[in-house]
Amino acid sequence: MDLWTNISLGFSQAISLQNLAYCFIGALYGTVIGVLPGIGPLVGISILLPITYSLPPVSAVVMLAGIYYGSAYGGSTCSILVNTPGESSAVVTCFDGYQMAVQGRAKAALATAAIGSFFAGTLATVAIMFLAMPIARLGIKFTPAEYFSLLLLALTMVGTLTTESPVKGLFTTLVGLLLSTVGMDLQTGRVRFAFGSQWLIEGVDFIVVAIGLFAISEVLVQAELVQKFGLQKREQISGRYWITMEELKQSFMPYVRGTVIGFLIGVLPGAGSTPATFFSYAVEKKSSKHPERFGKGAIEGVAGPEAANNAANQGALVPLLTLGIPGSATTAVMLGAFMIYGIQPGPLLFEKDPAFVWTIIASMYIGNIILLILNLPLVNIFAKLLDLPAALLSSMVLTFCTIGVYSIRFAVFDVFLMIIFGIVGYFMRKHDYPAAPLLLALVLGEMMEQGLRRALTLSNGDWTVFVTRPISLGLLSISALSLLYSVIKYLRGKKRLA
Amino acid sequence: MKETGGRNSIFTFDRMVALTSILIALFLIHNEYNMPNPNIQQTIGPSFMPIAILVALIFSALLILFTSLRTERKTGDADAVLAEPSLQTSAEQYKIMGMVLLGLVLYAVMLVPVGFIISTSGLIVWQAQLFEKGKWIRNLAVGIPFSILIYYLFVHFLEVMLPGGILSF
Amino acid sequence: MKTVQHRVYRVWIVAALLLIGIGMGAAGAVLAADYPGKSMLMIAPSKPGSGFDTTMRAVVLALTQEKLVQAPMTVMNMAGSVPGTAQIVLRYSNDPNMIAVMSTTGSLNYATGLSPYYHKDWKPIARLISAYYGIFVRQDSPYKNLGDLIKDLKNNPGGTPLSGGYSDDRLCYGALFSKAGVDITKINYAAFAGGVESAGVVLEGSAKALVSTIDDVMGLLESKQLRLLAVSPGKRMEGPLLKDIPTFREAGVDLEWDNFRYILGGKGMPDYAVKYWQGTLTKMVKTPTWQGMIKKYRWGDSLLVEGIDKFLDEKQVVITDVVKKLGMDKKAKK
Repeated sequence: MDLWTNISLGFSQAISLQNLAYCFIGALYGTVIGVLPGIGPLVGISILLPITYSLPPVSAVVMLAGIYYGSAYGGSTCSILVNTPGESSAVVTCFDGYQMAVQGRAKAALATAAIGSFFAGTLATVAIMFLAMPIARLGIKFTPAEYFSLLLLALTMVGTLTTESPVKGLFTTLVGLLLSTVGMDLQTGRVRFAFGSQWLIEGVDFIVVAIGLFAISEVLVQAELVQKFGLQKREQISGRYWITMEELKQSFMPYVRGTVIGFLIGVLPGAGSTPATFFSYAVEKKSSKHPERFGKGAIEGVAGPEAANNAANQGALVPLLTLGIPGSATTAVMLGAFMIYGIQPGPLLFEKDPAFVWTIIASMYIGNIILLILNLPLVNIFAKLLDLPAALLSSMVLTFCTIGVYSIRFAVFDVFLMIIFGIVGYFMRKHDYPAAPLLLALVLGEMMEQGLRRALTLSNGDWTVFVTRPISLGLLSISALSLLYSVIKYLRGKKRLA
Repeated sequence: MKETGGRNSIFTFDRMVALTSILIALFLIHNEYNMPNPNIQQTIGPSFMPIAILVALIFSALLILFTSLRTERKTGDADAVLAEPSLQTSAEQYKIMGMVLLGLVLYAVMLVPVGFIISTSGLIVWQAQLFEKGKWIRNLAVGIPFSILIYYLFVHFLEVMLPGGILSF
Repeated sequence: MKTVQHRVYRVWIVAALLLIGIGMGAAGAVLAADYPGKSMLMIAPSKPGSGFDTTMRAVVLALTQEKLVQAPMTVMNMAGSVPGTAQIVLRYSNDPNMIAVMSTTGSLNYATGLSPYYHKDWKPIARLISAYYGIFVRQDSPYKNLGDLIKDLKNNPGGTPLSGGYSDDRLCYGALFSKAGVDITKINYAAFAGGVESAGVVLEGSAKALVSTIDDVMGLLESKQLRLLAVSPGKRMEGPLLKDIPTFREAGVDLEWDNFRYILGGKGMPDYAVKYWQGTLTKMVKTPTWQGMIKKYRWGDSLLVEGIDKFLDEKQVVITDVVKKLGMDKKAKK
């Protein structure tokens, strides 16, 4: 069987000592950045990119993948013990997780989060394994026309479905698209919006934007909060038992539902894991016999969203690996990493280098086991990270951000650009302008424009190519529907206010 | 008009954003429209997409402007978000954030000429002071070894060149 | 008395000058003997995995394995070749311990006006290798040879779209088809980031042919998904899949084309350092390690030390001319 030869090929490489070691480092580092508030996988991966240059590509990607899904494990720790979500996808875990910790059930909350993450992570990897080849085969038929339509769909979903304020989501998406046009145009070699700067000829690097918008602005917000509230204290991990049979039984169905919800939302381009966690929480609350327990330490309120978060994270790897299209801001950074190693993910990768893809998939099984061990018996050690003085931590974060940005091409110019985006990011947070669409649009924008123009070049200027090809037509119709949906939502919002 | 500070002035954050982006977009459209294009066979040139995006950006800025005006008419509040007191930023808070940024800018300026180790130690001490007054010895005791360790690790182990500056080794 | 004193002074001055001269000479000799002494910085002005990076890492590997250079060598990747070269020019102009790799891309960027710097702003040391191009079609394509494709490009330029990389691949495309008498400003050329990326549309069928560095798409040639019509070097290439493929010239277009990669130092690099590297690289290309690299990446062994400046001058003229024909020179109007 094709699938089994592939996956055993993957495992044979994934269990090499070197790859195991990088998988472990990735999982460890992922857990650490997950636990630490303010450093999510996006920032964590961005600042690490330059130092992975000298690694063999397979090991580097195994490690980055480990960081990526590992951070989702660690994220719950901070939510449960400090009531501070490390990133937006861990917000829901605060609702009941922190309440459980206050009631002295921190251990059960941490355990159900870790087990749920493992359950969802492993099942989602199985799903990836079965889905990857069929989607990649479909992807072989993709021409620039299909890529344009798919990217347009991803962008409409990002800008409209996933944010509270569709108007501002649209605005930041467009700003991201505009930034993506800066620099040399591939088709003609003409430079746009560089205003004489040699550095801008290469375009605005998305890592610079990512670190600015997410990490620098976070340090600013922390500085602001410290001034107001002082430093925060955490709940202790106490109690004898990790989790009782009863609690595990209560958690099981939420795990299953969360995994399914998370994976389906994660696979959609442009959605990301945050809506998956909110959706799962709503489902659990609705299906519970005692919805009034939610928000007061209901274990289902931790189990479901945590499973959904991990499943969505893994699900987002499907479009990335099979089509080369990132579905979320973090996978966009992952795509950048792939490109740096000279790997173009997409259907051709499955043909050209199957060992590479399947090693990564196999390593996810191993990584999830490592993470379960790190996050259950050893969680105490990581919780100690939360006792690090915020003062030192934030300055170290700034140092790593600066190194990360500077060493892309050894330009202080990029460091200043990062600072500017940090200030912009701060005000965007304050006034509800979502940053993720901007970043995703920056990455997808160039691909989309190039897709559009390549399609027109290849069809000798015939615009009908987008609607005469069935896959492209289908994708365009879905984007039209989602646009229509957000217009209706906007108009209904108008009525509600009246 | 209530008298709670500048909250209900006509120039709220959203409106300022919308108006400035419309002006910038118009300038960029003008700029892009007058660019000479290479003589290469293609249906849409390099200006098409930027101009299309800019036109859409003007539209979405108008939408923000319109939404902001509508919210004010319906709720009597120009900027509902800023009305929450916890989100109001005080002068001291702006000051501390300004100091963080100042430290970062100085760091960027000093990084190459002075070198990584000295500038990083400086940044750590500066930043730590802003978050927590005092504890000089602890901060120095962490900052200096941290900078040296990172420098050594990056330059000799991970093969990423960091600026050596005056302490090059 | 006065004149004697004068003479004494003069003797002293001459002696002092002599001493300084000897001292400087000795210091120079010591420097030259010691060179490179401390560690060498080897700049690859592009991302890891790119042609620049592969070349530079191959050089370092060969020099280390064959024990030709004792000093430690660090490869530094500078993402983005345009400002990358500017960096080399500005920051390391007088540092003898920096060398970098450059290619046709440098001449191309200068010709299009993208970069204000070219080979006269640094010190070329030696041309090392050439990478060759090929014109590829899908296995079941009706084109039997390069002539068929050229005929279609002349008769039906709009209906014969091509694909290929945006940078040096496009240069080869321009040089080849303008030489063949095709009006290249009428051809639909879909530019991609590189050879592999542009192969997709040829496999799918929406582009009729692909211009790419041969090594980039070798996998697709081996799996018989692509077919090779002609190759760019002056004589036929080696290897079972390549030895029967005609060169451009054999296929009827009088052109030899390659992507030459050369090693350079800063503009102020002292002569002894230039001599050192020219000697060392000449030794290196003969070693088995380097010959293995050449085979592995299917490079042409094209060492050129004497006359490298003249070679680059001439190439700049040729490339500027092709860029004009492509319509990509900076003075082009709408």
